[in-house]
Amino acid sequence: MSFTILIVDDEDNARHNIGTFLSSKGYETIGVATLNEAREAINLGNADIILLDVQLPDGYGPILLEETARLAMCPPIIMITGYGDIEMAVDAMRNGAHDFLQKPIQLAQLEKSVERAGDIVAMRRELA
Amino acid sequence: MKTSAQLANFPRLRRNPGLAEITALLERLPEAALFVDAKSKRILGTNTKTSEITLYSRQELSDIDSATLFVNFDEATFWGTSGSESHPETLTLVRQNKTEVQVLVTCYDLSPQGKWNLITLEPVSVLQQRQAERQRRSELLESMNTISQALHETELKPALELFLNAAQKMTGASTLSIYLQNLAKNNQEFEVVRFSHYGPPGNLPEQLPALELAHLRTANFWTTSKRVPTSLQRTARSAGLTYVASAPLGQPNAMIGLVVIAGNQAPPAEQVLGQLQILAEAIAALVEQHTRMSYLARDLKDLTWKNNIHQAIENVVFDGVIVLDPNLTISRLNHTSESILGYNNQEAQGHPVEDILIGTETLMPALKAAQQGDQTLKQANMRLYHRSGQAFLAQVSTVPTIVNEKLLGIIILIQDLSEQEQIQLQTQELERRALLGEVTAIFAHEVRNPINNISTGLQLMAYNLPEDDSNQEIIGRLQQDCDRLSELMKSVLAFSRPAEYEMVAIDLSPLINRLVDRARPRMSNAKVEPHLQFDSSLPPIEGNQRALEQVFTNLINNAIQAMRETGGTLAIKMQKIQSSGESHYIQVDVADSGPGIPKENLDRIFHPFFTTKSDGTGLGLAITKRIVTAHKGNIQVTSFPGGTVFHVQLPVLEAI
Repeated sequence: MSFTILIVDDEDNARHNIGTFLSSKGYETIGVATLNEAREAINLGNADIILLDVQLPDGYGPILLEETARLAMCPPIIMITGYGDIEMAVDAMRNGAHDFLQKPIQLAQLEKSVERAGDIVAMRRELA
Repeated sequence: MKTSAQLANFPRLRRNPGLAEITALLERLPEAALFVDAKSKRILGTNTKTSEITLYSRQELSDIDSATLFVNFDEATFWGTSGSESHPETLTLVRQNKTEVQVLVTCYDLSPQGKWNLITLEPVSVLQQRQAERQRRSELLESMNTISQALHETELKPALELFLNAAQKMTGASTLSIYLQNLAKNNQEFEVVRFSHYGPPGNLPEQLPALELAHLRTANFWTTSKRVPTSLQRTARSAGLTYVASAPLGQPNAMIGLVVIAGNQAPPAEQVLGQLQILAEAIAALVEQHTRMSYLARDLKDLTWKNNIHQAIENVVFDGVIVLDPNLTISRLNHTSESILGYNNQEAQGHPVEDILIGTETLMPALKAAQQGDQTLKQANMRLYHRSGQAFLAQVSTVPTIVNEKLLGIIILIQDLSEQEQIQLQTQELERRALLGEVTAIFAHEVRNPINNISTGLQLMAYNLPEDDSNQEIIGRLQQDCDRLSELMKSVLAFSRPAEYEMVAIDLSPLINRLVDRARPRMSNAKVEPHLQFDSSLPPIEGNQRALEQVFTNLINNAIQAMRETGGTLAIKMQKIQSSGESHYIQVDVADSGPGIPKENLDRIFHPFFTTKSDGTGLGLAITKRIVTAHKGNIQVTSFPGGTVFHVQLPVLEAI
């Protein structure tokens, strides 16, 4: 079963590295740099799983948690945080984030987290 | 000279004038004159001047043919023209002693019938002399004009060049130089260097040593026949000049320089020395005047600098400083007194102190006493009133400034003792500490991303290479370094962690109103008009008072800064909006009518350490953005030539 992962990060290199890694693991990836681009991709139904940075050029990343909560196919969101944003990460978990990863990201951890998120998406698809 | 036509109008005479009368008439003429019978050309009468020129006595001249006096007399051309006056003609006159002299001869007809002629003689040498004299006078006049022009020159060099031109015309010298004391050398060794020059530069030396100046302390005139006293004359002689005249500038015991002329045709010594001394005095006066002017200009520059420094000091001290004129009107308010009294410097200037500084009854008597030179109110606590009427407790000191027993002004020092002031000082300290935290956090964020990129890149490489690849070890080490850097950033952050924001419900309208009020004196200095437009009954947001004050203070300050040269309007608009994701925000737009931000800078203005101000840190907007983000809001900017707008969106506090 194939999943599409939406990577929301304004760092080009971060998107590239993570995207390359996840592609090699058999995932489809889409990379965007802003909240607005992320919203467009989500509205098109392109995102099964979302990797989300906290500080984005056009606003506060976790706002997407609220916005996607209302969607039928609410995609699991994995927050990517720095050590300055721990409180936000806790807050994000409370608001329904699937997981959070701290920078610098360990790819092995990322893989596990994405796998778990994939299980959830797969389960929802079966139930639907 | 009476013409025959005029004579014809004479009244008819009872008796005709005789030869005696005519001779007497001739005596009155300025030139040598001959009264001649027109027909026979015989001389009937002459005057004394004729005898002086011809050396013939009056008797000897009487009744001889006038033509015989001249060598090259051509009758046809001379008498040929009829009319009252012949063209003057230069003829050679043979004098009684057989010597010849060139004279200008003019012949006048004395009667319409042509009965009598008057012939005048003027020696050519005399005419030439007169011409030369006239020439000299006009040149003298011209040089006087040049000198008066020189007196109006603002620069010394062109002034002295004009002087030299005038001196050249006056004296006819071919070479002229002005030497002035060489100030570059130390004062003990007095020497002069050539400052201004006319004519071939090699004719006179470039500078004169102290030793030789001893010989030139008085006016000096040298011609080739004399001994050569100094290198001045030696150089001139080598250049083929035949005379040198010099005069000292300044007093004999305080010589400041030398004026020198030289040439080939030596005029009489006393004449040239006289001229030179007058010139020397004028030049010395001019040099002194310019020296004094340059001292004055330097003093003025000094004083302006000092004044600026004093104003700057006044403006950085934390106390309010008010400077009063001796008649107790306001001369200046510093920034602190502007903000504690609520008036800006320009509007307070020239007003009586009692209109601006309102206090208890003891204030005015104290100022009156200070006006008399008494310092009785040294540090008294009293209640003062802000422009708005609000009272505050302050420590007031009055310091009369007295120089040479004359009152120059009164300085009032005001220290705001109100609680508000104390709190403000404490918050300032807190703000400084918080600032360090913010800066570190921004820095950490900026560093964290590249570390993350390097780390994930390395992991990717390790993953792509076979496990036994020799590079795996290097990649492993690099990854360890990334982890080390990352740990280091963590400890730095832990050390200077920004104070945790205590989030409370905040109404933005009064907060922004207060900040605008605080900025009013600065706005009025920069001719900036505030314009506020707040939607009514806006819901509160969740935020930190101090942090949000910093956000809007930064934006308001930037806006004023952008308009400080042109003035303009600071417009703040506040409204409730809904984001694309149905969340509600308060949007605050802070707009200025400044020149706008260039397109190429617009993308970078929130980046830390990006600044266009020479004294900027580039942290203001980075901190602003960080705080807004910490409030889960966002900030954006739009700019165009003629204005910049910052849009701040902060989430509305959701009802629990």
